[in-house]
Amino acid sequence: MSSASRDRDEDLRGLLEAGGGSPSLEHDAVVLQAARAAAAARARTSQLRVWALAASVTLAVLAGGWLWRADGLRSPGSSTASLNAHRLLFVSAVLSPGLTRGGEDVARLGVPRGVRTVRLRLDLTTVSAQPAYAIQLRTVSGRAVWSAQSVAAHSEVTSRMLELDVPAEFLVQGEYELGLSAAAHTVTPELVFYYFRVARE
Amino acid sequence: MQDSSDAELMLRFQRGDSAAFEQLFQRHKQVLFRFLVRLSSSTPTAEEVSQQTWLKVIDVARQGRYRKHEGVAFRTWLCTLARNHFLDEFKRKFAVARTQSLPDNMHETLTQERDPVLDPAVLVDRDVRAQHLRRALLTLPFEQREVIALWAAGVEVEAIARMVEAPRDTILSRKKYAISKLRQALAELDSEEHRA
Repeated sequence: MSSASRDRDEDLRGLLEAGGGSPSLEHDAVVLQAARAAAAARARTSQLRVWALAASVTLAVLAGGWLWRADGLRSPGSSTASLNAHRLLFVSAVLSPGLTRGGEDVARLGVPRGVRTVRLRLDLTTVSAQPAYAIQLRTVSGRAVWSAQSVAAHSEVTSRMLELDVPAEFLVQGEYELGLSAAAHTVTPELVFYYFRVARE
Repeated sequence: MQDSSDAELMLRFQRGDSAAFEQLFQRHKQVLFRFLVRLSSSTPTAEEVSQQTWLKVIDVARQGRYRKHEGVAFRTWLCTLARNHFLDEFKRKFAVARTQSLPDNMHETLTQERDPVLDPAVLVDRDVRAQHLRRALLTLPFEQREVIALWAAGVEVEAIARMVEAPRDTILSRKKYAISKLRQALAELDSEEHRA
């Protein structure tokens, strides 16, 4: 389209837009009144949502606190916390890699009587990502007590984690070493080690 | 950008800010109303459909259903709502299936309730030409008048094609024929004035 033709079209559009009247004051009043009512309703809804969100966060914090207290995690140097074994069939612990075998800072995991499963959550933040991992759990003297093949990691908001459920019957009192390797290879050096000490309660 | 600020106003309104809606309303009410006058050739019909369209916009916000859509201007969305409402009203009144072409003589029914403001006796110069153009618009088939009404409201050809569910080339063709007829009407007016 030539610029002259475009200009003529624009003139035509201008003429079409000229005049044509306006909606009545009543029309405007009805619309604006409805808009104000809707805005007030939306504002109330938004406020309720804020309260609902605050309530949800409070509940989440309370629930998190309860779980944290029930957790069997013992950070290095901390004392053994009591655990209500009548209410939990498993305990869980987050383990960080690289702690020295036999050291004083080894994570301590209290396993009360009646617990059937120990859930170990391995921090993989410093480990190169693999499609899946092979796990071997052994005593500190090197005796294999449990293993798992092809365990996939999962990502959390701030870190990658690998979750293992180890039957509690394999964990008697003592110190353990957990070796992690890439599951894709039959023979591969273990990528990382985790150490923890089990205390039967 | 106009579109993004329209969307922002709508989102603010959706959060409960009535002043944002008033700004949006002032910005578009005239364009919407004139679009509907051109489409329906009836001021009362345009007013009724305009009001219903704005109430629909408010309802969407009240339910928190407005989303900022990429590439769809607020005005295009507004005109789409208005057009759909107009066609629904027309279908209700005249029992015409929406997918069928609207009859070309629809203006004869609608012009019976034409607003006195369209009386050419009260208009001069440019207004006379504008009035003459609107009269010429009434003689166009509905499909062409619809395209011209949307085009004059600033809706892009691609958006019109999507709105009326017709190929872009068809829209361009309708627009071309309509503009040609409107220009011819203006030329006839100029010729009459020249003779006078």
